[in-house]
Amino acid sequence: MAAETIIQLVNIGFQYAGSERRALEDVSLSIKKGEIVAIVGHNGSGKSTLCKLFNALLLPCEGSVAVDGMDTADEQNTLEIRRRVGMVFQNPDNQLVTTIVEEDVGFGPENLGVPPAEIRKRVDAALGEVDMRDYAEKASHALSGGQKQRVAIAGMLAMQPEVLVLDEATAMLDPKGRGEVLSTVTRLNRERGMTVVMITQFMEETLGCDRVFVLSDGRLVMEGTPHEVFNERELLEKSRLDAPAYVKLRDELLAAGLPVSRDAMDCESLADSLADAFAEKPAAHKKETKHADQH
Amino acid sequence: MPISIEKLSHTYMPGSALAYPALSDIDMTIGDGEFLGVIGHTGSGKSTMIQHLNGLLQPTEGRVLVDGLDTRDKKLRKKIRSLVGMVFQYPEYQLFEETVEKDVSFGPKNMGLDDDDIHERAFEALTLVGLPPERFAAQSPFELSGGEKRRAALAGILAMRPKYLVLDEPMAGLDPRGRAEILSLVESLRSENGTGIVMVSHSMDDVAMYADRIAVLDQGALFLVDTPENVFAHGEELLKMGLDLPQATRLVRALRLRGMTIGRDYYRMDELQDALIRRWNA
Amino acid sequence: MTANITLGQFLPGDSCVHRLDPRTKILLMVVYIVIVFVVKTLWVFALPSLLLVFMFAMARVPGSYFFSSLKPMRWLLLFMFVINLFATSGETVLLHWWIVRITKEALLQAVFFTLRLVLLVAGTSVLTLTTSPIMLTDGLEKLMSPLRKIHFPAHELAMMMTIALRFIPTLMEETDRIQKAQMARGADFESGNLVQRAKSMIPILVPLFVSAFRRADELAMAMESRCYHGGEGRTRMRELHFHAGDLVASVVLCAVLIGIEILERVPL
Repeated sequence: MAAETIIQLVNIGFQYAGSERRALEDVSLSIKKGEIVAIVGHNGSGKSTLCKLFNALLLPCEGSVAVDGMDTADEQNTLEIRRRVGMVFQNPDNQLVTTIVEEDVGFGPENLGVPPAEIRKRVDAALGEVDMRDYAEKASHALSGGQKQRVAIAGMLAMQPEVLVLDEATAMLDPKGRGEVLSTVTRLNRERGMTVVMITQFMEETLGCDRVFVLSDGRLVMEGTPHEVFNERELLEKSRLDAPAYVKLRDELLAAGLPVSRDAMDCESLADSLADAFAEKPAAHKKETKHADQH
Repeated sequence: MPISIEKLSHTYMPGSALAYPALSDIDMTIGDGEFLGVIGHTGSGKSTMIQHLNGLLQPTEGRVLVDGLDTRDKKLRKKIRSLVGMVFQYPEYQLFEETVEKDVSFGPKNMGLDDDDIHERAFEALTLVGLPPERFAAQSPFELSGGEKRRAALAGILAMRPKYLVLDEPMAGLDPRGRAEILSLVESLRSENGTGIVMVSHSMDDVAMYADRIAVLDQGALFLVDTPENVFAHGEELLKMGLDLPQATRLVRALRLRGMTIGRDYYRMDELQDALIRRWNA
Repeated sequence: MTANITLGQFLPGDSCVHRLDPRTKILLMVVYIVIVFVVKTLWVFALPSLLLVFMFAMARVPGSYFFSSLKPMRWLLLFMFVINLFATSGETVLLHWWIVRITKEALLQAVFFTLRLVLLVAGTSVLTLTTSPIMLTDGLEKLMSPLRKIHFPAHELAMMMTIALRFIPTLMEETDRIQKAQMARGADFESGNLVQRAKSMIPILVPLFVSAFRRADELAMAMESRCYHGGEGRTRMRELHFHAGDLVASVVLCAVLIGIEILERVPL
């Protein structure tokens, strides 16, 4: 049962009014339902511009964007597209509209004209999904960064979207907040089949993704699994990106002759591989010594 | 002379129902030209503590001496603020002048320096942060890119030629390239100018790499101030505080859990890499 | 560290006054104001005074709030009392000492003025103490909505009030941060004459404004992403409904008003 495409970009070109350079040039990609993908790129690579095309905040200058078959250029589709593609932005403060958490989560459904009793249900459910139920009646501004972002996610969930796009949503958070957001989003993908698109600069965050798209200077330069992408060290370097520290270490160790697994990308898998390598090593060494003794 | 923090305690809104004890009994010295990293969970009092270093906040108890000057003395504050430069988080949000040069000159102007001196310092500072004055001095700060704005804000502090530079998460929100640039700039200030650095950061790897000593704050108290080696040896306690460990340290812990004996602790990836390769070739 | 400011000082609670529809409270506040101004005889002031005590009791607001609501006004009250005492002309002289001349009419005028002010301030504080800012904006929006037929932007105004309320604490924190950052660069906000001090605000105001515009931009994007498209077709999670309590409160207030009118006409 092949997963269907939910977001499709064909030959996208984009230029901001009054700007001379092209923000995006000939970008084509498709995202399937239920996938969790990452879009990475240096500052100015066009990744933020790209994600705003997903929910019709921006319309392409060339090419087309289709969400669940609907063309974003068609104004009739705009509201429905925005309902289906929920977006969480970078600044936790500048997304919360009202003073009280549960009111804010209800903002989306209110805009959609959902009946009051149903809004109430959705708000409670959404807050439960992001583990913020205890904060329902608290003041928005008093929350931590990670909590604010989770409330923003809940605000999207209350509209019952199919895709959740995070536009560098963890960039302004401390490690704890980042962890909260990432685990919430991963859980939504695994347990609810929510399609997730993460725009990020931090390669570590892409480890759990199905696919990674690499943007550089407005172009899509690479597409593949995290493993495939991290192995393209030269291309990453040219794109002004960094492979995760453990991947770099792995490659250095491999170059020095240690038989670590090419699949190891994080701390645990690298530790497993190293422990195995060292455990099996003495046998090989003894064999060589024996060999040498025989001569 | 060092910065001396003596029995520093700070309570917000003392005496009221909302009184909040942010710091209790901090004792510490920051040496000339030292690179001190400050780590701690969010809410542990890092921001509160560093704001005492230039007199922005006053101790509820205890005192802070900068080069022998007491921060509680109102008359000395201007002098203290020219000795201790402070860069807040997202400093680009404090830019306000018409041109980059004018904004960078704000600090020196407040110090009462004469125009030639101010001009020289502004240009020097801009060059230092990688914003060539010929190109940037006359531009509006609001036309710069995010990374450029941050560097302009940093130049504004450097133009004051402070003896100590206090930075609150200077790399927040930057991409990997930007982070590396700012860090190496800060380190070069220390190594080439002898500027003392106090850097609050959540990135354990950065702190492990550059700090001479690390101060660990936990719920307003000073848990420990020691070399990175000694601080990260307290892995369990740091984790319990909600702090992360440097990636090299984490790997060593994971390897030990899998039965490998590793004689010493590592907190720098480059050192760990060399050690593993040496061990393999042994 | 900015103190936690609750605008209008809302005191959360579950009294019957808290539970009244905000529209009722807003409209009855108007009735209350009329009451305060319609009283002309000294002893009739007892009625609105009793009403005030009654309102405080029903709202289960501690008496200390009566004093704290008046505290910012105390010098003004004293000042106005004295002004009225000496500025009003009258005939029945009560006290004549040196240049001080106090007449009965003037004394009554001063007392009335002060009493009215006290009743007004304390009475309206009951409104703000028992109604959260959101409820107030909701109530105002609902009350204004019939005006939409003449293209009065009731929804937009309410939306603006909601967003403003939401961002006040955030902007105050930001002002604090900016101020500290500029102080770290040697800025001095305390010394100098009026002109100097005004000029010294520029390093705070410019970044604050720039930041405010940026926030507005980002917030607009976030709102559009959540399908905001104006007031058409919007529902509200929290609906306002009139209940029996609203009717009772209205009857009580109107009764007081009528009672005062009657008492005023009783010749004494």
